[in-house]
Amino acid sequence: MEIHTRRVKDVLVADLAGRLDSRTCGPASTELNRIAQAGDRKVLLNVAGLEYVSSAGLRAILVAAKLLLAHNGTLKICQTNPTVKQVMEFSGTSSLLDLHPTEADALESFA
Amino acid sequence: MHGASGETEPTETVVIRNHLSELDRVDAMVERFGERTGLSAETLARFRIVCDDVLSNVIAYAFPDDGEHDVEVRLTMVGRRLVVRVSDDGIPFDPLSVAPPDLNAPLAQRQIGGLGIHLVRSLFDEVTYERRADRNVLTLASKVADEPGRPERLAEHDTPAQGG
Repeated sequence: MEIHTRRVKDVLVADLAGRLDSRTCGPASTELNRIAQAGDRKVLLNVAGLEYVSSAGLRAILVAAKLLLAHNGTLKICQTNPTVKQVMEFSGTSSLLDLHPTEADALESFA
Repeated sequence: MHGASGETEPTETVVIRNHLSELDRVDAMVERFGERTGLSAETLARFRIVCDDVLSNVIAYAFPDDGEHDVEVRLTMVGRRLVVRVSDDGIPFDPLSVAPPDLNAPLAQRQIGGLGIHLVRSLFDEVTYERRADRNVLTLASKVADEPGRPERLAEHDTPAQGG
């Protein structure tokens, strides 16, 4: 599980790659929470490289999203593969996290 | 029930100890199962998700004595149905008795826990729990709907029809 950040104008983009599950969610959660509290208000998770996410991984994302919300920020997600999308839909997280098919769509929606 | 007599159902079993690091061995088993059955990457990922959710739950809650325990995981393909069975000798616990989380609550009020079993039930058609001989036995079954988007994998592992 890897998380790398980059900046696209005023949006902080975090690229997630690998498997986000019970074994990897600890360090991933620490990093996502750090990102959520670092002062950025527009945060986009690009999950193109994410193979799958289990409920432990969803929790990590939801906790970060809540933290960001508490700092008046917004978390969005883009480029989910079919499995990740399905998990987010079934778990009801897709309605909270504003999914976008492409990074361009997501960046535009922040404006 | 079984049509093809003499044809064994592909099965993989692994017995792990109650540590999260042992889930690596479940990954290896899913990998082997994938190679034998030619199931798509998506189907295998769903498999991994439910294994992660069910097993991390068992490891976290089934053994309040903090002792060493074994958890058995078995994967079987019965026709086009995929069956996962997880059994452990932990305290009696029926995960199906857990109330589903409120999926309509807004983010600020959203409960963070309780998603695991809900997700497992969404990803598989049938989930049954039994307490059998002092063991929790959770069985998950789902028809495989591998999409025609990956014909190369299906073709590669396709065997001529039996029954000759």
